Amino acid sequence: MQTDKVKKRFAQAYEEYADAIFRHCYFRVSDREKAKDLMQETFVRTWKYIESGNNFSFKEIRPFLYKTATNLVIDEYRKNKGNASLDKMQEKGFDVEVDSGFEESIDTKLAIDRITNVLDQLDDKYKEVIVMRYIDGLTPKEISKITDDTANNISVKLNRATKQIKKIIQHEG
Amino acid sequence: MKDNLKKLFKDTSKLTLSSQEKEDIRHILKTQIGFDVREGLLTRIKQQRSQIKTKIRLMPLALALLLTFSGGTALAANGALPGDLLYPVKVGVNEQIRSAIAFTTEAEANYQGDLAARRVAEIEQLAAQGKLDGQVKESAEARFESHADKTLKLIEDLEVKGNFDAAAAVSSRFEASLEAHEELIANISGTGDLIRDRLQEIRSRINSRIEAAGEARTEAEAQISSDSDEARTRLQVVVEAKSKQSERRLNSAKNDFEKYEPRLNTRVKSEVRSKIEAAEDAHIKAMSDLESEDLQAAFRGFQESISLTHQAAVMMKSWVSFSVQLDRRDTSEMDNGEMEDDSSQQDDEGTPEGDDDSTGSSDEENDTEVEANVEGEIDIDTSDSGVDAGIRSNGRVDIGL
Repeated sequence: MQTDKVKKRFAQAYEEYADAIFRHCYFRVSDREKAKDLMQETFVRTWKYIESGNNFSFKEIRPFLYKTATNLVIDEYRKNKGNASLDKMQEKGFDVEVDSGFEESIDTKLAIDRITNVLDQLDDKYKEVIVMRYIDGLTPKEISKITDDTANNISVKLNRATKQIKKIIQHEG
Repeated sequence: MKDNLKKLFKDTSKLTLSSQEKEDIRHILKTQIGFDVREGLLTRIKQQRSQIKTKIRLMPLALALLLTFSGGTALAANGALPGDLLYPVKVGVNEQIRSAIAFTTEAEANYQGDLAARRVAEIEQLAAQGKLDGQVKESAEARFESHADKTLKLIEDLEVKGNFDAAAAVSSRFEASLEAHEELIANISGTGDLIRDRLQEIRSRINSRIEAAGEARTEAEAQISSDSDEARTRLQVVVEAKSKQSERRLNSAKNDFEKYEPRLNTRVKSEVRSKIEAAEDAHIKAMSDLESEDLQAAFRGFQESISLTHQAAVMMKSWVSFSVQLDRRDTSEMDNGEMEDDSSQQDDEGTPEGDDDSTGSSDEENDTEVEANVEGEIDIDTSDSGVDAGIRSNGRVDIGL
């Protein structure tokens, strides 16, 4: 039986990490609505895991959320693999947010568009580590725990991803 | 290179969910996990409030007034900055309460209005990309109408509750957004009759809603009262906050115009310029009304100025987005090395689904608008806040003749 304390801590975790998980999902799938769905599902699954009596410590909630989100993103990629043309349709610029709150400056919007454009040109395995490192702010060690990879491999991927990004940016001119 | 990457990604933290989006997800989570995660937010508010209390001095009378009255004052406070009288209300009360307690009618009305405008922006983007086919257009239109209906109904609710300044502000903002988009659509012309006709249909719908929003605004403004001392004091606070908001928006619009003028086409540039000038005139007149204590005229004047700068901002933002889209499309066409100049329109109404022999090749074709066949499956996400479209139309769209 879940105590009120557990629910309260979960609720606090939602407040603390909702934006971060959304951001992670957004830069992985480049689609705002999809990112919201994935973020929501991340929290649902996390709660269900806690609720089913598994051994869980709230000290680990952050990596747990990222791991869950990452797995959901991978499922999403697999689902859309057969619909390559749909992926192309859901372009960054199509996901227009010019009216959202009217607080976003044009600069910010263009910067985010540019970033998603760069990220979308990366191989998935590189995109994952770059998003976790430079957008989510996770260390290579934390990333290795989330992705079940060694820290050394993560560092290698980051290095290769960085080189790929450099090429992409040089090509942009 | 690491520093360059940090620079590249530094703006990503600005991408967040809006309060409304978070609230919507909280509602959904509640149905799925069986309890309300709002508890987490209230805990945070309590923590933040105890911090604010020790730091901020606020006139008790002003706070009592602001907490007593609803939407219009809250809306006015949303434009406040540090140092403004209403700034503590904005950060310590408005922004948190709007999320924590059931969102106000005014906030919901603005949100629905934003969604309606967003639907139009999506249609513009589709047209700019040459992808405005029949089914997608109908779907986006239906959503636009649905959000527009909700907005106008909520404005009516505000009036019924006697919250006339909020009703006036919401309808003004809604009207301004739609007017800006309507003008932008007028700037998009197509060589294909089909796209032009579709855009014309959309413009008619938008115009009818602009009319309705304009009527609502006029009606609400006429009801704003300063008859009693209480009403007058409240209106004074609202108008002063609006004057600061108007000034800030004006400066922001001028700065944006200076920065983005080179990217705008001649017609849009001229329209944006004239809106900013008109906003400035309205602001000056409103200041004069405020000095002579004609609060209702001052309210209307600042509202008009805000509305005009809002239109200018929407036009600039949307246009810059267009040009990014067109640049990308042109670049990818050049990369593909193919420019099949197919200016003929295909009537893709009733084009069979699943005419998909090109899933593999679509990766190379990117945004070209010249394909004669429909690629991929038709897949329309009917969720309330987005359109995921899977059909490309063909034909060319020229922007800004």
